[in-house]
Amino acid sequence: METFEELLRNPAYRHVVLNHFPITGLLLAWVVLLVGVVRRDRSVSLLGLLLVAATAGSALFVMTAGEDAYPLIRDSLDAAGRERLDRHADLAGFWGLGLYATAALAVVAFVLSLWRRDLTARLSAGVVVATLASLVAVVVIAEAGGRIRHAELHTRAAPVPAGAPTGGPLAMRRLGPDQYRAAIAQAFGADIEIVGNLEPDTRRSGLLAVGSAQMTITPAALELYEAIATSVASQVLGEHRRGALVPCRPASASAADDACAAQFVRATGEKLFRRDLSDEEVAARVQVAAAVAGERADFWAGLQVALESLLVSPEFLFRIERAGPVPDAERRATVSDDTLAMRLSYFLWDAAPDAELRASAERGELHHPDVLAQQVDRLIASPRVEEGVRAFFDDLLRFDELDAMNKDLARYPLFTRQLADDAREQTLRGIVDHVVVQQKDYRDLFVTRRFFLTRALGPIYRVPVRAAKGWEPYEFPEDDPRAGLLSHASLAMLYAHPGKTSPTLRGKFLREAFLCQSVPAAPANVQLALFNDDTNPALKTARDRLEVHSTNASCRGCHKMIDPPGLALERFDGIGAYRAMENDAPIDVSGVLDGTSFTSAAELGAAVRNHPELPRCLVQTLYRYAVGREEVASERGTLKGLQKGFEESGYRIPALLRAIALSETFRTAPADEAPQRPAAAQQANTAGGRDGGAS
Amino acid sequence: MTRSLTRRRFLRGTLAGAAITVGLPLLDVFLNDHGDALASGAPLPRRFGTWFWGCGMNASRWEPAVDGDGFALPPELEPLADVRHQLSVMSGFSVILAGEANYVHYSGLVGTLTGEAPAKDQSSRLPTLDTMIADQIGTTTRFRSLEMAATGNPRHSYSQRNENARNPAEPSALALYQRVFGSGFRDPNAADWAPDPRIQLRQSALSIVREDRKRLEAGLGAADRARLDEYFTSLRQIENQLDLQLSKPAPLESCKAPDAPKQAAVSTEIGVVVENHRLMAQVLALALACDQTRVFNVVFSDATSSLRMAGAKETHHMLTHIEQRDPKLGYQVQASTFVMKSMEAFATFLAALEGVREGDGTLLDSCLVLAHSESSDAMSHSVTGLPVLLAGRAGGRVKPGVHVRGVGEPTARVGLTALQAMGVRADRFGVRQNEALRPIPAVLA
Repeated sequence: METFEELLRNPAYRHVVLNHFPITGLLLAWVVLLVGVVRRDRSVSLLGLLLVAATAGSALFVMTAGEDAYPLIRDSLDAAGRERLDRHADLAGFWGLGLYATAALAVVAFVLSLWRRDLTARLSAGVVVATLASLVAVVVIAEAGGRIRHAELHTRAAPVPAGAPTGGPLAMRRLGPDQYRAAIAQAFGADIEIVGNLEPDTRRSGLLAVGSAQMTITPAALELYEAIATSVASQVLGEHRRGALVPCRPASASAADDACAAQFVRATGEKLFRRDLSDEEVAARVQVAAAVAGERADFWAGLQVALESLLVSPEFLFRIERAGPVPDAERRATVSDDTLAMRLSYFLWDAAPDAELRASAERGELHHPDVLAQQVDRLIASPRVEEGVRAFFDDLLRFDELDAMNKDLARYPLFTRQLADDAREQTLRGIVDHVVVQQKDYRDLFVTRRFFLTRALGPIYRVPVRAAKGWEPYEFPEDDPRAGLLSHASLAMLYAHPGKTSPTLRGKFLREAFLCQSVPAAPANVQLALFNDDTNPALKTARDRLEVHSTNASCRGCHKMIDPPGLALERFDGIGAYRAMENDAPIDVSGVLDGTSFTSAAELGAAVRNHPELPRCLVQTLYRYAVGREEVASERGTLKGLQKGFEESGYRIPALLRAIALSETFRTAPADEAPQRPAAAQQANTAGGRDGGAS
Repeated sequence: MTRSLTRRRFLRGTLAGAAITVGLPLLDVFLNDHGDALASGAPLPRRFGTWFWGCGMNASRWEPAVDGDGFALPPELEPLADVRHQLSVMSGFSVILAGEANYVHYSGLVGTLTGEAPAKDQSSRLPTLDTMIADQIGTTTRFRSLEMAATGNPRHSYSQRNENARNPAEPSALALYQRVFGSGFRDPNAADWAPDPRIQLRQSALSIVREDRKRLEAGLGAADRARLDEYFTSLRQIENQLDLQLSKPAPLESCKAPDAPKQAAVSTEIGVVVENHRLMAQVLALALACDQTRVFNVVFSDATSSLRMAGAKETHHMLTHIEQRDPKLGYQVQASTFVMKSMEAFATFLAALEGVREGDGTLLDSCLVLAHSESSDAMSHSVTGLPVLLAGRAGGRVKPGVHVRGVGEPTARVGLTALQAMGVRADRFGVRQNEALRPIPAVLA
């Protein structure tokens, strides 16, 4: 009985157990009371009144347990889940009062009836009506509560609000370490050296892209950016590079040359800030460059200061999104042309806008539907879209974590850094080939037998790789266990421990990343010692050990969800090599995924491929990646439309990229994001004419 | 934002807001100093650091039996025998959950550092105490604080100003060396000391950005404006640091730049971690001796300790959950080995600080090091009776060598003690049930 007691200590369980009293209990009580009233049977009526009082009153305990469970549950939910939870709590908070009133009414009726027999029938009839009303309220509350955990109710659960579809708040996204390096390489060439460990981004809502819109720049981080800026600036303006990277020659190397400085600042600034610089921005830098050049009798020293100031500016380190000055016909704020260009280009290419896109933004024509569609098509047709797709999947699969991953070399003698790097590249290359180059159905990524291999990967996949260098496509035969993304070594090694596999980590990742299902954290009092005992000769395989979960009520619920897909991948060891046995026992890889049975990893791949949540989840995640945050209510309609379109396109990712880039919510924002400035400032800007940041 | 604030949350939030006291500079920061002065006559700087190890200890083998100063070192503290004279043991202090969930391997850690049981996993809104101390004693050095992780993972850092402003860790001794003793280092003892002529130029570059602030802020939402504010706070700090580097520092007799350490492998195998940590400790000791920073945060192992023995299937963290308790001994033998190794590493760390002579004593005399873990019994993720150690004399502010038992009291009391020892004017630390109103008198000198 200990487990049951433990269960009851969890307020969420208590809430779920107790809520039957005010629902089913109240219904029964109402029936009893109704029978009493209809048959004019006083004793049945009295019993009915008591039952109504007890069951309606029991709502108090349900409420208390629910209140206690609120913070525990809330944390495990995504934004939509939290909305559902809050709605449930709101409904309960309000309509719950009616239940208490009904209980009180029943008590009063009962007492009065004892005292005045003749009133029993009429009082009971009154309570019948009140109870009926309470029942309706209770069902509404319970239905809202059921939606929190029951995904099958969700399709109805998220109504699309009325009004024009409007994008969520604008973001200010910190460049990630890779984006920073790419931006420097793009502006000055790949041979510029960047020394130091840039701060890694934090993953929020499953994406670094969302975390990047929340993280700030700490003194430690800015110190590093500043150090890198001085180093980059001195490399760029060093004697061998300045010829190529500075578009002009100063009249004298030992004196200021404002015209040349301005030319350099303008040309470099637009690469780094992803827009044209305003005249003031250029002037401030030219002025300081001139002062330094004069003081030190060195034109280049002055220019270096100007360049450093560009490199440490928040305009470079963050992608600052701004609204355009004029709301649209629907009274929505629109994102500025510069911001739209930046959004498009980072979304589709993971890089700053190129000259053509920037020119289009500067001309102020990017909001014109034809121009926008033409630019989007151009970006998607470019091979650079491969970089964008690659960056998205790198984030989704959490591949940044491969850098710090390490394995026990005695257990996995094949493991090397090269292997981890190749495994990452193999997966990204395979994805890009499948979804961009071949334009195939996204879902088939989970069943495709086409892999790209290097010689380092050969031993893991047990395939002889002929080419000593580079990549070789390879088609696994039909009966091979290697099929689809889930059988990639990169995922097998990342979602495992240093010395062994982890069906739990793999199952949890699959649920969260590909199906957008939330998996609650293990309870704090978890007792793994019970079943993870691999010294026990009876428990040979991970399945044997994990199956002990099913004997423990507090584990069963979640592990029933997590384990089957994870166990299906157990024949891929901690670095992804194939094995059929564990501790001399055959590894059973059969199971069920949300109703679909499978008997192998390949069949699990097929089950994931056909899972209705798979495309829906990709649409949602890709949209979040594009805008750097979770979707808001006014974007729900967009997401629905995107899902429909994705389906109609045969699940082609380029079509989805296009649909997101062209969606109204991608280029609009809530009305209060529009700049509210004093008229004078606005005028000054118009006069300046080139204040790209605010245009 | 939707209705994320229920009435309950709102109440909690306001209470929390009222309970945070911001440290104001103490004017008498260098008064009442029992330590010795430097040869130059300038008082010795006071230093503070945290040292973290993951997955706790075994109370029966870690907690001393006797309170006060006559305690014997139990088995898991035995590795610290050589530095016992510099060490106080805090046992029985807890992070008090009071209705919040126990976010395993997180609540205990962040609760000790911020004085609040977090309301979310892996996210706490409050600053960790090292940053509060750094704002007090770290404003005159090149680095306000230095973070390092012996596990080689830059994400293994628990120092933060808020949930969106975390201080990443240097992942290797070499990276730490390059940051401190790389090209930006100027030896304060050099006869021909001159400021780096580039400093003024760098300041000019920063001033251009500073003066652009108004334009940058225009049109930003409140949240982004706050983040931009943090950027400008950082900017001001960097400007101050550059300013400091313009004037010649007092000579520091114990300052000597170390040789560059070798690049270590990225591995959580215990031997590699111990060696990486040893090298980091040596670089850090000299960084302190050269007064490049006065605040540091060391992560020996992460909160879900990924340490492992070569050839082993299980990490330390997994062992705490799956290893059977030895029926005769009553504890997990393999997991306990990792606790012993962690305490050995802490002894190595303190020895590195003690190895640098300064004034009449050693570097450790001027330091206060707060060592802690996120669980007591990691198997059950208990945050009751968390292990905390204080080492060093904080320049005479702290009296080592005692065992204090704080039954039912929050670890924030240790935090408050550290804040006060470091001159932060705080009369309380922590929030709600974790709020501490009194430091630990047995520790303060």
